[in-house]
Amino acid sequence: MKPERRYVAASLVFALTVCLFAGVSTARAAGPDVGWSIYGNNHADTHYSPLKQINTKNIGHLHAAWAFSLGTLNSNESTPLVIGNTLYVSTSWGPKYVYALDATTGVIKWRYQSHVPQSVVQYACCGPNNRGVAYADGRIFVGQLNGLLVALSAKTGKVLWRSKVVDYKQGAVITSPPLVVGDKVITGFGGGEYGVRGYISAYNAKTGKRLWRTYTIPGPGEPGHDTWRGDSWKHGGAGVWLIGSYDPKLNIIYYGTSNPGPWDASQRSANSSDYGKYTNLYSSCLLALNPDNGKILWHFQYTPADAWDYDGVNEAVLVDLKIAGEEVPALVHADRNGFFYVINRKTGKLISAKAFVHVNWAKGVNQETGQPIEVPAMHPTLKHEAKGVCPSAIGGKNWQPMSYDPETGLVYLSANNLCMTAKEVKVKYHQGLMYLGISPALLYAGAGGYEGELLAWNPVTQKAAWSVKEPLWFNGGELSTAGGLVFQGTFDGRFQAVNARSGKVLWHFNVGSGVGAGPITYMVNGKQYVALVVGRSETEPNWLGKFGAEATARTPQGGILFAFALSH
Amino acid sequence: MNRIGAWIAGLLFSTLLLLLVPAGSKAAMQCMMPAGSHAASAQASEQAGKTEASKSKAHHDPAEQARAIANGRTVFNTNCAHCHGEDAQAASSYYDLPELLSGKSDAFFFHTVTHGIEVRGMPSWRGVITRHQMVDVLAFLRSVEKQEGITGN
Repeated sequence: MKPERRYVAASLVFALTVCLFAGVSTARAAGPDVGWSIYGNNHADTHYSPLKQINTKNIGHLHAAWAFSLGTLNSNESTPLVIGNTLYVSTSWGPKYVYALDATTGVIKWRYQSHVPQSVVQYACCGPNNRGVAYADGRIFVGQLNGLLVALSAKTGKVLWRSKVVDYKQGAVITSPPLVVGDKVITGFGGGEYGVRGYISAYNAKTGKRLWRTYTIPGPGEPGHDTWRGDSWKHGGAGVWLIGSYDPKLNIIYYGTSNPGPWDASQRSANSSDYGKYTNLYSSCLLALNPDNGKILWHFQYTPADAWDYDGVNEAVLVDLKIAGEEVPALVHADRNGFFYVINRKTGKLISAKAFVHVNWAKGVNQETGQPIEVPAMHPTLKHEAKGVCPSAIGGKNWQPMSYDPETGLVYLSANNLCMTAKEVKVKYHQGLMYLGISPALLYAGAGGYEGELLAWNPVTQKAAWSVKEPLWFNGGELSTAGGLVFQGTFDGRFQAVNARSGKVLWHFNVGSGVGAGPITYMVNGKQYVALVVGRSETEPNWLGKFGAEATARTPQGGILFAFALSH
Repeated sequence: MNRIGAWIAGLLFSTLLLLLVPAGSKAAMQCMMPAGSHAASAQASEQAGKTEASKSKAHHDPAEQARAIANGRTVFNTNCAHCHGEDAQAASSYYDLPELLSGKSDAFFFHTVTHGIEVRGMPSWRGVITRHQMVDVLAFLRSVEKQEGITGN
């Protein structure tokens, strides 16, 4: 071949290649962008996406597209948001930063710095974490450890308003993204370990003006006030430290509340399982509220007079289930106390509750009253050390977001197989100090020796479909997709994709540090991405001495956002 | 101004100086001290600590030593373990006591526990943990250091 001809041939090949790629990208660009606009991807909080470009067939080609260093270490547990082609992510320590990034490259568009002092850790029981931001109408909303709710311009990152939700120096911190309902930004705060009295407040999205506030512990004269012994209601906890869900048709928001304070139940209830009227409302409880005025419509208490720190804050995921041939507007909730609850989200009536991990503190849940049937020997008191209680204070499932896949009808969750030995002690309230009243609980793996599992749970039959055993507890949350996949990060630093129907692990990637957050997925310019914040917590393991130190020894601290996409 | 006036003014000025300087220099000194050292109050704490330590560890009685360590461990695990880890086995270097106490005096310990270190998030335990309990906690922590082979404070 003559050089000229060679040149012509090469350019032809080149032109053809360009055309092919252009064709592919045109085909891709034809699809609209699909974002992730709220923590759970929707108000039902399902952490499910209908995207399926990445699926069970091509998952082997998933590769890291870009990575972004968050600039902080410890407790990076944020769920990013994607609006258009911009990804918003918050870091730990305040959050110290909120970033807006190009969702396809990870390049910074703007950065917000909160200036929350490091000393705030004194008031954050479980680490300097932040679990993400909220978005609505060109504004980003972020709750901070220093008790402020802040609105930022989504375009520039400039502060639009700041509202004080709570005095953080009593041990009250905001770690969750707020919930936006219409023109209202709704938030609670954590502090069940510091003797706060919890509340939920709503703010005007445009101005930051407070619109309503509802205490989670009824004051004198309000129904439920007499469920507290003496003055204990004043420091009774019941913090609201996780985002709620919202049913626009029923116009109801659903929130879980934290453990009552102190952990020693004798100071607010009974020193035994026989708590009588002292149930400590509305702690460790589900609340259904009217978002317009904050009025409590009904409640369902998971653990009355909680003596184990079972809490009740875990998410209520709104799903429509077909039970015994009938379509039921339900909510599903995997409680720290080890029971998986299916509740009618319109009426608050219990449909079913079954143990999803090994449970021995209660024999079951009374179908009529909704109350657990306690085993007195498993109730720690001032005099009685309860040995081998399952689940532990960490819970059958902790805060890490579970996912509901409407195609498989399964809930995917990170379960903990841990048990504990615990005894309570008297404690006095001191502002800003922990208000616990418990000798340190000794934790250990339950039967089988594994500490965690990725569990696929059928909420209709209340049975496990499959499970993947994990060496460590406290693994990250789940994302399920129409691609037939479940994504999950683990506390020992693996990011894995699992077949949603069979539980077969199809893909994994070493992300370098433990994971607590749930992954997200989005599509920009016809390309689907999966993103995940990495950087394990260390404050919660810190509570658990050697047992906790063994878990954190598996990976170093971290603070990275990864975005994955298919390679060609 | 006449001479007498100037003399009286000078006298007043020097008296003022005499009165002001020691207080001022003391304040300046405290401001310049790195966080955690606080020499003046630490000295007082050290003396108190020594007295109490010698009282509680009278004659280096092994039984008394064992009691102090056991009680210190209980006090520690009830109040301090949420941050510093059960039995001082911290999962986080931010709270790692063998690291934080390494090379530090007993006085530093008493001062820190009593007054806290606000910027680090360490609260003041004054009025919560008694002096006797602090002495026991220190005995416990020093026993942990020994177990980990750290000596020579």
